[in-house]
This record gives sequence, structure tokens and C-alpha cells, in this order.
Amino acid sequence: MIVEMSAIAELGTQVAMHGAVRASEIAIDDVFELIVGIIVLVIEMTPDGVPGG
Amino acid sequence: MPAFPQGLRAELIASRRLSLAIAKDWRGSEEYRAIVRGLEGSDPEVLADGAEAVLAQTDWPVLLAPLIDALAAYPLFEPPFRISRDAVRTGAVLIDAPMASISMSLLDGKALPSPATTIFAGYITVTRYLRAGGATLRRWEVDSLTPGFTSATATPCRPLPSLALTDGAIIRCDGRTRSQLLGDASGPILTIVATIRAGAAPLIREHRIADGALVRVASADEAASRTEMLLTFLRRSGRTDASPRFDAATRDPAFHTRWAAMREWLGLDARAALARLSEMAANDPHPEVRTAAAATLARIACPA
Repeated sequence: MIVEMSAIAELGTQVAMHGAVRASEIAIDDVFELIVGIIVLVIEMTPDGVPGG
Repeated sequence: MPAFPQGLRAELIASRRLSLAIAKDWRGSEEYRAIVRGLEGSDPEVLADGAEAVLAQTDWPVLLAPLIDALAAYPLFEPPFRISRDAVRTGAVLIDAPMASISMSLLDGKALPSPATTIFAGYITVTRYLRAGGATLRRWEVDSLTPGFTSATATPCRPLPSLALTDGAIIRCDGRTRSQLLGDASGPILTIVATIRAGAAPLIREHRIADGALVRVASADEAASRTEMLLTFLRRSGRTDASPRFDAATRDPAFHTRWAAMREWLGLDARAALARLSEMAANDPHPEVRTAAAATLARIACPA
């Protein structure tokens, strides 16, 4: 059974991703490194280039 | 495209080795190690005391002299710093210890922005203004984060008296309840900032200056954000075998990560997630998570 994401309640307090708020001069670099880290992991998990494949 | 000069390639490779060797020597120097020793510990206040002493006592030109000499002698030398630049600021992370880091920044005091919001970063900073540039430090205060924090019930921040900065001033700012903004500068501002990682709050809060109202909240925890992004990826990949990972993430200390994990789990395999959803509706420590879980349970039980 799968529930549509739109049917799942959201929190009243929305919390943005780390780095979304300017906190220091290195915040943008932090976001870049976070996203690059995720992309590298995804590439390693999907050697055929197809998620789940 | 012209070929890359082979001579320059050899020089670059050689300079890389040289840069690493000089950086290793620099980090092994007594001056460097004394600073790192001053930033040891786990208590944020003790660390801030240590940072204050480090900022006051370190002779920065002497500390950086070997690297400046290397740069003068070898144009391709790369100082071992993480550098960031924008229109107003050039910054370098000089020392990155486990519980604290020290960075140096040069700001164009005449180009300082006038933001409409102020940020409560969630961690303690200690700043030494080597050159204050005639700047003023505007400051605000807000209540501490509580485990049941919600944006709907957040209190506004309050202005504190501004400080006129002088050369050499050392200012501590507990970003868990205080924020600050530089303004009114007439010249360049050179700072050394110690950022204390220990004891940091889990959320960064952005408040509007005009009326103090909370504008936005962001996670202060990179790991929590990474977890949420990876759980989305697992759902989109149809990885129903990853249920234990989703279950574990619904027990994360951060309330938003717990609920994000449950949303992704329901979108992937609601049958597996239902028991945990019921538990969260009854027992989650955060009121908004309990409310969202109960509402979702009701929708699943009685779909429209």
C-alpha cells in the first residue's frame, strides 16, 4: 500500500534544509558539498544510471 | 584549444607536493598546536573561553609568516585554507579543530548589505576585530529553543543596544539566543572568528528586523538534511527493503527529520509504516508531529 504524498499531513513548522539560511560566509560552500555528497552516493548506488535498477 | 604547457604541468605537480609539505610543517608547528590545544573540550562555554584566549594571545602575523614566505617564494604555492569570496567578504578557514574552527575575513565596510532579517545561527562565535573599520554592531536577543518549539508560537526577537566597535575588540555572541549585524562602517573590517560547534542548537532561526517576527527556520544539522534527502531517494527508488532505515529515522532527535522520514516511508510502503505512525500519533515528543501523525492516520483510515 502506497499513500500519495499529497495525502500526508505536513508540519506547521517548516524547516528548510541545512544551509538554506545565510549563517556565515561558508554556508553556500556547505550546501554545495552536501549536494555533491548526495549525488556521489546516488551515482554509486545506481551503476546502471537507473534508480532501483 | 591550445595544449596545456608540459612545463607548467610539471611545475603544478611539484608545487602541489611542496604545498602539502609546507602545510604539514605549519600544522606541526608549536604555534599551531597551541591553538588547537586551546580549542579542546566539549563544554561550549569552556571552549568559548579558550577561543577568547587564543584570539587575544595569538600573534597572527607570526603564525601565518611561513605561509606568506612560501607564497612570496613560490607563486604556485597553495595555502592550506578553505577560501570563500563574494562581493563584500573574502574569508579563509585557518584552523578546523573537531569542536571549533577559526576563520579570518576581510570585509569591504563600505559595501556592507542592509538585510531585512537577522540570523540566530545556533552556535557561539567569538570575534576579534583586528580592524573594526569604524563599524557598529547591531544586536538582537530571542528566547532559547525548547524541545516543543513551533513557528506558530515563536516569540519575536528583541533589539539590544548597539556596540561601537574598536580595533582589537573581542566580542562573544551566543547565537543560540543572540544575533548581530555589522553596519555603519567607514573602512575595511578585518576579523578573526572562532566558531564553537559544541552545544549548537539544532535549528537556525531567521527573524525580521522591523518587527522581530520569525520568518524562517532551517536545520543546523547537515547530517539531518542529508538523511532527509537520502530517504527521498530511497522512496523514489522503491526500496521497500530499507524499512529499518526509515524506522530508525523516525526516531531522530530532530522533530522535522522524524516526520520527514515518516512521510517518505508512507509514500513508499504505508503498510510497513502504519504501526510506527500510530506510535508517533500517540507518543511523539513534539506536538506538531503528534498532530500530523493523527491527521494522516485518519486520512488513511477514511480516504476521501
